[in-house]
Amino acid sequence: MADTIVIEVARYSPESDARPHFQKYEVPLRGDWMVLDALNYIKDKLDGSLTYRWSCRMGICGSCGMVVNGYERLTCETLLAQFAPGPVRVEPLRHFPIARDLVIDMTDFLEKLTRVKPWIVRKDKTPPPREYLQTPEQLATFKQYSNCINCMLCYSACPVYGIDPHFVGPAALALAERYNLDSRDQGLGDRLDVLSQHDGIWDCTVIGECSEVCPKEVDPSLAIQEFKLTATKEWYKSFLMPWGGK
Amino acid sequence: MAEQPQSEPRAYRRSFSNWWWLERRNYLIFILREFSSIFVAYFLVVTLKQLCALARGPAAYASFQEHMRHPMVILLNIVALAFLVLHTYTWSKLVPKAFFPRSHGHPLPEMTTALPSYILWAVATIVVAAFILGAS
Amino acid sequence: METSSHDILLVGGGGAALRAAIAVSEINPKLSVAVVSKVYPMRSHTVSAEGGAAGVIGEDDTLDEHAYDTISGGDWLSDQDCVEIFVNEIPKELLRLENWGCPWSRRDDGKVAVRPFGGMKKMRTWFAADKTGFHMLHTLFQTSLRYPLTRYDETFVTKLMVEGDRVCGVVAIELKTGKVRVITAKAVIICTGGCGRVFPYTTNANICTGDGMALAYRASAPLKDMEMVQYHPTGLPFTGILITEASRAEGGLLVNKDGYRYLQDYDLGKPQKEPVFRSMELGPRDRLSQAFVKEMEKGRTIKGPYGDVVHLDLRHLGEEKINAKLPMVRELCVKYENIDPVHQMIPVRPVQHYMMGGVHTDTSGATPLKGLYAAGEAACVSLNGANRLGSNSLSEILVFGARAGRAAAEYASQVAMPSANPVLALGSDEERRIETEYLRKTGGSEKISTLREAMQHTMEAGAGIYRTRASLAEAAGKIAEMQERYKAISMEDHSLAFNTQLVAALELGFLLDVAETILQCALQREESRGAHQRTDFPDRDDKKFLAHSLVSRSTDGRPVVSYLPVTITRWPPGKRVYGEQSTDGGHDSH
Repeated sequence: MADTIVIEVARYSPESDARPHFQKYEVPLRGDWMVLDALNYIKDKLDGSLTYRWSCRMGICGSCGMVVNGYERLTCETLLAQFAPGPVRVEPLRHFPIARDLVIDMTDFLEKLTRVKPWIVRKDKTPPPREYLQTPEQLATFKQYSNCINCMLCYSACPVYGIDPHFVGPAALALAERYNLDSRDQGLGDRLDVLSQHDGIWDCTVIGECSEVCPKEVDPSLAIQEFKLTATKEWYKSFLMPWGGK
Repeated sequence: MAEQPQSEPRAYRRSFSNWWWLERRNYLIFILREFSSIFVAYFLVVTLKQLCALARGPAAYASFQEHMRHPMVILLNIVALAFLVLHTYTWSKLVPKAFFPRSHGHPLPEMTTALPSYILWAVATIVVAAFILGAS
Repeated sequence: METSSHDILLVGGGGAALRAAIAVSEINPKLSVAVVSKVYPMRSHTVSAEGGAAGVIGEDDTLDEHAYDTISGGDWLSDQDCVEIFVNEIPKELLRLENWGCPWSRRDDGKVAVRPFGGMKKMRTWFAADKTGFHMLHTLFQTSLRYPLTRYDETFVTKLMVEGDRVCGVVAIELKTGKVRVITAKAVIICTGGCGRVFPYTTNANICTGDGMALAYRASAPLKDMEMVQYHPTGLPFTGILITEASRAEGGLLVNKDGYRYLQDYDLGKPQKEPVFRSMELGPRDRLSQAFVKEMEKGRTIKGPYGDVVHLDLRHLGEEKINAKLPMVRELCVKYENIDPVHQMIPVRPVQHYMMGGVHTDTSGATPLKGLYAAGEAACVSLNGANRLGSNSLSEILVFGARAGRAAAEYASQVAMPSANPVLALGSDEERRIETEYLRKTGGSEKISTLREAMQHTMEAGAGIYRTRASLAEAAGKIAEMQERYKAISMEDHSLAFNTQLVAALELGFLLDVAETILQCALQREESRGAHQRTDFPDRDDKKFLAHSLVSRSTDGRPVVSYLPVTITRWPPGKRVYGEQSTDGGHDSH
């Protein structure tokens, strides 16, 4: 294994650049370094102006999502040495505006996250005396969808979101389904109103790349298809049995 | 929501390329998968034509077979067959996204749900092949 | 310069901040509440907590036992009125979080499950797989979206504004644009978490730089018990990543280079096949970390490429149990150590993990500075005393986040908004300071990263698990020197848009101030208690030091320490006993 490896990083400063460009840096090639360690080395030792998000460095906070050699990765858990001899190309997540270097503007994602009403909706106002009973089986129904760390790799990987930024998107839809499936929730109707539109679940054409890149195995694609089935059933119910309510 | 100040630095918006589907293997397979439906329709038409020819008698059927032996038609059928294999494979692969049985709440592994589809395909292929090859 | 005003401002966006914000909104929906955080809330460090949140729920468990475990775990430095309030309120808070959708792991009958945890005599730790902090934070954040809160995301607070004797708001930098925001507020609640990045090996994220502690300290609000730094016995050697205590609660064993369960040599009981409460691997964190150092001195630890380690053995638990109860542990080991704990032992060592110390508050989260409150790891009430028990911290953020929110709400509904002119003047001054000392600065001879690493290694050497007067004094001298060197840092990034070098520079300034307070408090406390171990004063001295260290900034800028007696209610100071002797009855206090 060579001693060093070249990293090509996308740079963009709105005050001085018309468009993004790449800059090369040579960093040590250590066997246990992640790509994030290389970025930190560049910032600490070579170029203090390199800008990127990171925090927990253990794959749980969702800050450090970027595109590494063409694929969406969390840089804190992407081993650097696998790209030897390099170069390694690091770019910001796709389909979002670039605010600076590797930092994208997340405003759209936050808006969509809020829009799907990601909280327990109760129609009856009295809380239970203790906990809502929920068996391990009931928990298992939505558990994997609750593991989303909001890293947005799925939005970067989804061509539908790239073509149509109005698409609510994989993570937000998976989160909506997480609440739909939670036995304590009574908000399916509220969410259907928002999401059974063409920007919602029906924009998804089951490409499945979102689930491929998800670092937490949430499988948002499955969540969306599950939601489609539920939405269809509810639609039939609504005109075959209009007296029922949800 | 957070207030926005008057003049923001200009965030850079990248354009989305019409050739996006060539950028990644999975995207290409997706487009080919969708495109393969055209060949499903094609085979449907061929089968209908075959049935019509059969109904009209031996002369009409012989004419149909003559037509099917044309080198361009054979080429087209080979291409169509390739697409149909892709279609059936990706269809089976997608079954777990349409039926998602759960065991004690946990989703089953995708292969478990897809396997019956693959098996059915293999069995159908063997039966039809045996029939056709046996008859010739 | 942008201006805005709110009744209540939360600095920080993690568990404590969100719980406090919701509490304000619920108790008085008319109050305008804002959350200012340097990261988006779901990135807050609450997200990495793994093990669980303690709260009495079993029929055979009592509040008094939770209280006793906490107080003895804290080596009697915990304020007992605070502990009593805590154990009483936490079960309701955890249930409230359940009602809000938190996916607590369950028993077969559908009730919430609890698991054993270090230092606790009964099973009372609620958990959500081994990602409890993650689930709690996301539940709180998603629930907070239904309340009319204003959020200033990625907005870095640089200064607390004080006018006369009251807090009147903050000055902050909006990272996206580089614009300075002056936010006027009647009450400010600091929930900025810990300061682990003062040390080189820590479980803490990059963002844990003691911002709120330094902000309060600079605003003349005292910090408390800063010498009480918790080391977690099981962190991964290179990265410092946390391997949760739950791995020991489920039966993991700590062994030295001879495969020997060395904890039995350190008054932590005798090895049994199954985990025993308050014994061996389920002992308190300070004692386990100290045992590691002693083993290292005896030459019985394993030499690794990043220093000495011991082994955490989970192999006997089996693949099924590990996948069910400790899936994240397995994932982390495979990813970061290339080790599968199902088949191999995990190399671990103590790493800094938590700050028992922080901004001095009373039991409702109020500091002596009018209008300033604090909650969570950034605060020191004191719940945790000289050593925190695992799973009390996630509970702490709920109870004291809510209490601080309610107290701040009450205060805010009784006072008028601070007047505009002084606030704007303070804001302008701060804006000018940031420009001249950082943004427009040219020259400079110190790299931020070099100075930061020097500080971290100085702190590790001088104020590690074992300290002496000499090591602390030497470190204090070096840190004072570094405060001077800090004035000469060089800035390469002069842009306004998303300047993370500016953030790093400001954070380093906070860290240096916090480091000074840690060293000064440690120097003055001439005894050993909980996590603070002085080899020159190896015994606990209740006569002189049954008191909190309060450290304030004097007029010449140096930290000055005074003492505040610990509040004792029903549990007179006793001996901390772990191992089999501690499992008979509840109150062995001789």
